[in-house]
Amino acid sequence: MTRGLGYRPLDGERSRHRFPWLPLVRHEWDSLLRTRWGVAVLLLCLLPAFGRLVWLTLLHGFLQLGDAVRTRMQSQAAGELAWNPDQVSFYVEPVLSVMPGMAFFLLLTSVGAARSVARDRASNALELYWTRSITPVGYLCGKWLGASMVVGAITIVAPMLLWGLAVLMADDWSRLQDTACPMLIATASLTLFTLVLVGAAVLLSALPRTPNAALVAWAGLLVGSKAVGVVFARALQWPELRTLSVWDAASALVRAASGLPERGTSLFGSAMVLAMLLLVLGLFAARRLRLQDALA
Amino acid sequence: MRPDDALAPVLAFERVTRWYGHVVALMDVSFEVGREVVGLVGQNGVGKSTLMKLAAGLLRPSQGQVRVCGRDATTRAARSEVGYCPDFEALPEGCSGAHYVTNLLRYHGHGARSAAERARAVLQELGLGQHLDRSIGEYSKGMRQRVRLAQALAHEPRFVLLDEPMTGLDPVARSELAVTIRALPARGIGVLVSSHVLHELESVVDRVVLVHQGRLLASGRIGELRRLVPELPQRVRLVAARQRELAACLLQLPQVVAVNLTDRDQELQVTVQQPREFLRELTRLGASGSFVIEAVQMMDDNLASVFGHLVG
Repeated sequence: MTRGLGYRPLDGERSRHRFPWLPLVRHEWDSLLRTRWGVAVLLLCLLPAFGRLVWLTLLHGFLQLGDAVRTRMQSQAAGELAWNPDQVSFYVEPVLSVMPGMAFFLLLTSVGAARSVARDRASNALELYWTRSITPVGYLCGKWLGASMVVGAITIVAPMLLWGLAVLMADDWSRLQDTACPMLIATASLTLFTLVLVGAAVLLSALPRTPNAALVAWAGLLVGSKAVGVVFARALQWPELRTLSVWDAASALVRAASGLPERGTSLFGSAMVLAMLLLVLGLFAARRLRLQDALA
Repeated sequence: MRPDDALAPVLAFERVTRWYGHVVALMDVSFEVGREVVGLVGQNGVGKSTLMKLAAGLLRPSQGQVRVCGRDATTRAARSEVGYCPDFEALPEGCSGAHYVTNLLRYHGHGARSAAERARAVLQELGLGQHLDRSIGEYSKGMRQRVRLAQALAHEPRFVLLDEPMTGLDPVARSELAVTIRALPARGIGVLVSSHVLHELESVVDRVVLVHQGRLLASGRIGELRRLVPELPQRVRLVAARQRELAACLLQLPQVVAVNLTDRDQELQVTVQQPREFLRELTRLGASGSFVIEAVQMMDDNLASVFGHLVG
């Protein structure tokens, strides 16, 4: 005997949201935390911040490894800006450095942003999105903001939390008074840094057919442009050519805004490189995400 | 649903043509779907998928118009009236059925709580009440098919597109799905369903649309289509005693082309032209008392034979 599934429609009115793609932001964030692998990668990428936290606790004597160690750390903090909690460099430099900053950034974006659109294309999920009220532009916005939230955990939230803890660990409120304003500017510039680089990753992921190809393209862009910048800058004795590196170009903007020492990059050149990159990727992605192309 | 809405077609193709570069995928196709189940039949590569994507608003026609509930199919308003159940596996393994349907409902503009409640209720109605929070990766094929159907129905569309919904299902799951699909028109939902399993489609649809080489070959009820091709010889299965004598008698009739005695006891298969005339003669023969005819079955009065004849 056949048993019917007995579907009957439900009562209730449909609701309408102005931005139906907003749940995509949450979905993108969830997709990282849904798997143990994703959580492990996120924790791994937070290691530099944990390292700095341990440094802080040792420096302020919350953890005791002996006076000799503490004295050595204090002298290093006094000598190097990047290890001095009273300087913005201490919080921002781990994000902007090639190691660990770029390496962990690449790792985290490779889990989400760099494959996001290609992954949906490969699983045919794009068709389901397009039959919803989501437009390709809204879809890209959702992916971009969601992936930025994920990456922002290591580029924005971690430095902010570290700074907050450093303020609480300090002997008095002078650290708060001295670093609050520059830290605010640094956080804003780190937010821009994250949005620009994640935007590039998401747009780039719309171009290849497979997630793996998208990942290779993103790694190639980030690491390849870095290598090209360094090689040309050294070969031609022209330090500004380091700006050819997407990573260095984005870092230069943060350094300039936060008052960190420059590393031979041109601010105007950096802005131009990033603007051109986003423009070109945006044009290609828009062409690729036209419905008939997306579904071909 | 307003009274005049009940009569209006939920899907209308008006002289639709679609090219991919220089390749014509669909040529001058016109048909309508009301609050009924319409089957879309065609071989691979004849434009069936293009037609489905045009109906879902995923493609724009090169010429002509596709309308869903009176609106251009590619508009947001029209897309919100469409439930699309694709033929591919687009279910994420990591999340539960309830979570997946909730997410897709939210992209239709539903709030988080209302989407979650609605998703759970629809999945429950479709028989997945015990498995709402299990990972989709642990679902059987039939359960996955129900999840795909649930995401298409959850936002209460007025028109549902089902692309090969029976593929990979066992007979019980197929029957259950057929019953569900058959119930949709009564709720004011029009359905366009494509399938390669023609005999399954036959039990589900009110009408069929036959597509071949990008053109609309025929459209209508299966019986009506069958009557449009009367020159096609039909096979009739008869069960009667004294089958050899009956075969000899039938061969005298002008409509009979051939008679085959089958291995089964008392059964014979007759190939006839003009089946109506033949059935009239057969009735006369039975009424005369010469033979006791226990069963008559028209073997070719089905979708597969009509389709096979029309596409050669």
